[in-house]
Amino acid sequence: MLALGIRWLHVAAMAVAFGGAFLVAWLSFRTSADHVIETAARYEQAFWAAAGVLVMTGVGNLGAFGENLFEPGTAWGATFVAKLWVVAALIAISLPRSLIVALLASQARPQPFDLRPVYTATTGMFAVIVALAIVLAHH
Amino acid sequence: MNERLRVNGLVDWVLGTFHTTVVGLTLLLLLYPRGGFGATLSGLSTLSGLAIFIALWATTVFTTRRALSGVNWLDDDPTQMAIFFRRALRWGGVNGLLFLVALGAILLLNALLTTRGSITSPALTIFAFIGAIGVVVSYAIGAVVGVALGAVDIAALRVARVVTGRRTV
Repeated sequence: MLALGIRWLHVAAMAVAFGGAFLVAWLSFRTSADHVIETAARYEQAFWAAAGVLVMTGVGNLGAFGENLFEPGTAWGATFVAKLWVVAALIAISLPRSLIVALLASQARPQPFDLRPVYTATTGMFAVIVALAIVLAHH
Repeated sequence: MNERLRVNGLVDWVLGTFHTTVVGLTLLLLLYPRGGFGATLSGLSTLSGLAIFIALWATTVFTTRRALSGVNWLDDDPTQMAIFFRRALRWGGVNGLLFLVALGAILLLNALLTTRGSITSPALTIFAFIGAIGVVVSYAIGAVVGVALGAVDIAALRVARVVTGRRTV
């Protein structure tokens, strides 16, 4: 039951982070940057909450495998390590992204700034992570 | 002023959680490829594992907030950054210490609830002895990690300032 709850939380956090990135990317294509910045700042708060939950529940999911966890030498293990590296890359690009939003939000009148490439790249990386997660789940 | 406070709250949360996820991911990337990770995890109950991560997250966000308190971090002023680095060293050490205390409390509670018979006087003495050495070691490790992550934070801030066209002082 606890393992199921952790798995549910993992998927829910992914939905918040991925869905939110898609939403901000979509908004940045449709409206001006100064209108998107407020939404982007709220998304950054939610993104980091989701990132923490994803790492925590990710380890919890591995723990549920126990002794049956696939070893790194297997196809599953190689895919999992690849997923970890993409997650690490996403976390690495997300810090400057969040700080860009914080810098823009700290201005009384935010300067014009194109957020489209930033959030499109974030959404794209999430899509790769989800694809790898689907491969792992169906192994 | 409210806007400044709100953005500072966002920065505290972003940096604190970034540090926590970096520690978590680094451990995963170091431990999983060595093999036998499933066996390692099976020695720890799921609830204890969650409690340990939540403790690390809470202490890291708290100490990051303390390190950033009163510093206009987004301005990237050299004087402010020097203060931030000294605080990253000090509060990184405090974070190591707080996490060790939380870790000890969680493991002790877990042992009390699951294997009550294992809590004997000699076992507690060894636990206290290891804890006393751990205080020094955890402070030192926390301080080093704090400074390293502080440097990463500043590098990311400078990237963000360049991208947004704001001159770095």
